[in-house]
Amino acid sequence: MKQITIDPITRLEGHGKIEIFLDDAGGVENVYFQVPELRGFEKFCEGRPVEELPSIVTKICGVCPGCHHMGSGKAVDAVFGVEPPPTAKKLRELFYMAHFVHSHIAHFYALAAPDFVVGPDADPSKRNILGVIDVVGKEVGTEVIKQRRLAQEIQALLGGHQTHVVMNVPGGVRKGLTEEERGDIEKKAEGFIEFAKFSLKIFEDVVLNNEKYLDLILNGPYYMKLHSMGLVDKKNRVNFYDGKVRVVNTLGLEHCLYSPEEYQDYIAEHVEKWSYLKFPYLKKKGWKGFIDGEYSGVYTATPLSRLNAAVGMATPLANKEYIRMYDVLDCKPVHHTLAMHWARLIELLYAAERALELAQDTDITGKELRADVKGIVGEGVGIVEAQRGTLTHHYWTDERGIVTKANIIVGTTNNNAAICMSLKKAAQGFIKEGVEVNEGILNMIEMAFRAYDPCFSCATHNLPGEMPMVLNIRNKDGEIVRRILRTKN
Amino acid sequence: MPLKDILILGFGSDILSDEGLAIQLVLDLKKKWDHLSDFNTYLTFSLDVIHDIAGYEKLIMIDTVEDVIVGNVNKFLLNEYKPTLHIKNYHDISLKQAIAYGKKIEIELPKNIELITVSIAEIGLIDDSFSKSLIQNYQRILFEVESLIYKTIFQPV
Repeated sequence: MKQITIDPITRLEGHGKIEIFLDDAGGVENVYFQVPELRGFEKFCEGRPVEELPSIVTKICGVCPGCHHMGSGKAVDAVFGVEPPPTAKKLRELFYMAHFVHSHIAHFYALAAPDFVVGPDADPSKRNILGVIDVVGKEVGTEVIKQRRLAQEIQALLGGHQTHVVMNVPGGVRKGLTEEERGDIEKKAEGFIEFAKFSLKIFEDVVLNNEKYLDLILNGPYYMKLHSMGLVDKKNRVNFYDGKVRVVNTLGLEHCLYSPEEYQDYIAEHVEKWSYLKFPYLKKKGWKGFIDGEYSGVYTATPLSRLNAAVGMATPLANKEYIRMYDVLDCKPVHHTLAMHWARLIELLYAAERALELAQDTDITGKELRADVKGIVGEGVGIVEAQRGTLTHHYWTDERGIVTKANIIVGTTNNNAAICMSLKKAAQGFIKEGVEVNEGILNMIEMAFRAYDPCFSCATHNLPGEMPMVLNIRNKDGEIVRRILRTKN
Repeated sequence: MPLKDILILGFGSDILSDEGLAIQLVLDLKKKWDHLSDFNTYLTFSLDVIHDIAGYEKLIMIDTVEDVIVGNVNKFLLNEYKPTLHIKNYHDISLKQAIAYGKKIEIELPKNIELITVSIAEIGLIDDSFSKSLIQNYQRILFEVESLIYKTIFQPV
């Protein structure tokens, strides 16, 4: 048996390693996706006053601090048994939409586009954001930076700091919005919508209108039937900030719909000795191993699964694109891994439209920013959708509000089993006897997990985040016959 | 856009013990030189930093590097750059690539980019205070960093 190890994997957050075991015939027998980092952040929360956590967890890593701030803020509200007033909730959501705009733009242009715009098997030295700009033009590069900066400015304004957010307090937010600031955000949100539409047009021109890429999405080794998870509003439409968690099965039928505090009734975590990252699964299905299909307990929590789990988008333009995606792919739920890129851009449009709606809401400049805290319930759960999947913060405190225990299930953790399976499927599809395993093939295996936009620094709670990965190829006896290391810096 | 003069950036995390050194240095430098320079801090380097550095003549970035010896202070120019603990290849975009990106989209970047590194021995340790050895060396490190920055500030571009 031969072994292939990909290390470092590129264009992801966090450190990971892929071990590919080959059989005697040169085919792929098994693939292990390992995260060789220690998870430990929950321990750091213990002993702290719970109201400090929303600002502490933003430092888990610098990639999606706003998600942790929101999930944590909601959990802290629950610990104090308090519901923020409407203006505070809307301000939080407005901040959060800017956070999504900021992140989704980065993923598409810096992480996903190099594979499609430059080419999945292109020279690695060109297959990066600089190569993307060479193809699409410097004006687009300028817009990428500009729109991200504008989103960052909204986050800094509402959050107090663009990365180390200090917005949420128990029962509300620290500060409100002036009319002048509201008007400024409104203009920025209008720009986000235009940029999101433009990005969808690029996706159409570059990916959907390219037969080779469309074939790769539809017929490549990037297909798995898994259950889909996502937060939905009362009408079962996608919502990033609030609502219930809905899971649909591989056929698109509702498996469960639960409130944040009920998550432990529906989700359990499986442990494998070869990874620090746990493997959440649907409790009622049970852990059946790394298998797909209706019988499996494995689910995904991704932009695509959010769309699958919902009946539509809550904003008009995004909903139009939502309907179009399912029409073009001619199925629902969609199980094509690479369609996550399309779903992410639809979410970008939704976040932009929702930001505009909120900026135009008369409540947004309201003065009631915080509800009174009257006591300590002692336990609370907050769930939001992070860019990378459903994010759960669960805190337990003593009667003084000091944290005695914390459990955090981050977006990437939800997808851990699915990522492993996607990698195996891609490796089996591309590595065959007589086929030289070159850089292009390795990159096409990497594309399987890149679609998930994984963040392992966060999922393992390792600090600080690093990105690299190793790919080892081992023979049937477990000996390494080839190791591919990419320079990590 | 009229050029501003000097921007000093610190990279690191103040809940990661010695990895927060550059943040503290920037806070202390700001107290003294607030009138001479702009200051900012980041958890990690990212493409967004490119926009923030636009319009300055000189950029000084301060970060930590891992070493067995605590408190070695060094200065590098951009062409001598080697990854530090928080200025590295996030999102597959290195500092040099980010600068190249900025040039490609015609952002007015600083003519003079310098990186000051300080060695630390403990990394990944969650603590909001510095290690004993760093505390013992802090004033010397601050003095050496100040001296390097002083030269840059008064050196013509």
